[in-house]
Amino acid sequence: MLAGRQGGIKMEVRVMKNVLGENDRVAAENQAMFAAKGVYVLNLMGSPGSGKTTLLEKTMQKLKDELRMAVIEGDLFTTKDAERIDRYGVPVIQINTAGGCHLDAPMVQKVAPQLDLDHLDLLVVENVGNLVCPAEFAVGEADKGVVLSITEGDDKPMKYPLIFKESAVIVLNKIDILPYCNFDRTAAREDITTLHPGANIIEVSCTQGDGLDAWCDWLRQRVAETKAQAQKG
Amino acid sequence: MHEMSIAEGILDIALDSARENDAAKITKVGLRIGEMAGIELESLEMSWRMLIAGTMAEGAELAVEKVPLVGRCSKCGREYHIENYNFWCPECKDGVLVIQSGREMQVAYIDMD
Amino acid sequence: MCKECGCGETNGNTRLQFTVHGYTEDSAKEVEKALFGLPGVLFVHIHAHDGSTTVDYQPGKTKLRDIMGVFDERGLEADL
Repeated sequence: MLAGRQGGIKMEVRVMKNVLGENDRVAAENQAMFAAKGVYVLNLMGSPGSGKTTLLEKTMQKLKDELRMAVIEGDLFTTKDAERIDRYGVPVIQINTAGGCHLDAPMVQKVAPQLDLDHLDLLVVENVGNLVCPAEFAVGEADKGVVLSITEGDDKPMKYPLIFKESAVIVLNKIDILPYCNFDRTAAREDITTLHPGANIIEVSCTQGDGLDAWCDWLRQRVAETKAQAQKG
Repeated sequence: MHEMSIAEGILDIALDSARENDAAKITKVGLRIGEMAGIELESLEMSWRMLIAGTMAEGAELAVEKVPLVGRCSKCGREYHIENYNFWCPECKDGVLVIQSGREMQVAYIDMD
Repeated sequence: MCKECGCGETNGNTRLQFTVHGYTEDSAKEVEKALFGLPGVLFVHIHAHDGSTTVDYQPGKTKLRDIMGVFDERGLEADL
């Protein structure tokens, strides 16, 4: 319902307003930068203890001589995870949020210049252990991924729908101890695909090795796609 | 980058402004888009055209002012155009170029009747 | 938006509560599933017997008409 206005008076109205919220804006910048440099960036999320860092250790074991990798580690406190990554000789930057529950785009933008982006294929941003907040904050990644370990319970996807909806890959970890847990694998998989039709679920056991080849193949594919896109652009 | 959601954001700002100013029609939206904003202008144009059909902004053109990515060296203070997202000062080698402009994603002005 | 720590967009989620006519036990389950599959829909609960329907969603990701479309497509009448 427009207020009546006569005569079609032409106006140029000065606005100067940002189109996106601040985090999304910075994330877009980061994403553009990484894409231009042909670096595939994965924002890896999951509960504390789900196996994110262990998955990265296994990934480095398998891929670090084939792909040029780097890791940005996010934790409230300590450099424990960065130390674990460092043992593999992969460049790693630890961000300590000192209480912040998630990494955000400005944090990643601040440390990105420390990486040799011109000579990098795969950058994993291991987010703070948390199934809630990280889903809301893009950091400039190409994809989000979530690690759900079966010890957390098969009801978690429905309880934390956003992170499962947003993730391009869902890693179901610790499948080797399925016989000892009350985890209904079929129900969990069905809930995940209900929330996210066509969801890419990879079942793994980091300790026993199951599924790690499928996981690495998926990463290889995304890296190749990213490189191809960068060469075109 | 999701150019459609950016186009939606632009349209929201434009429609709000038009309502505030009692306008009946939006004819042009002026944007300031930084080099580093990561927007594909063609996709944005396409999304915009699809989105404005049937709205007050139908037929409105997007006028894009591209803002160059310029950084000032934290050590020597000189300003340089940042090429290939290389944030190191070409003179000092270990001075970091702090971004002064080129990150914008703004609606600058709106022409309306 | 994280209600506990306050991080995230201030817009928050939208909760719709309304009555739908014409559910069967099966169609109610199927509608629940279809709604969950929409990108912005976080939570759905349907009581088939009285038609009371609750949907929590993020308006930024899914439009109201997409939600209503799920009912329209199945010939179900939703009283918003």
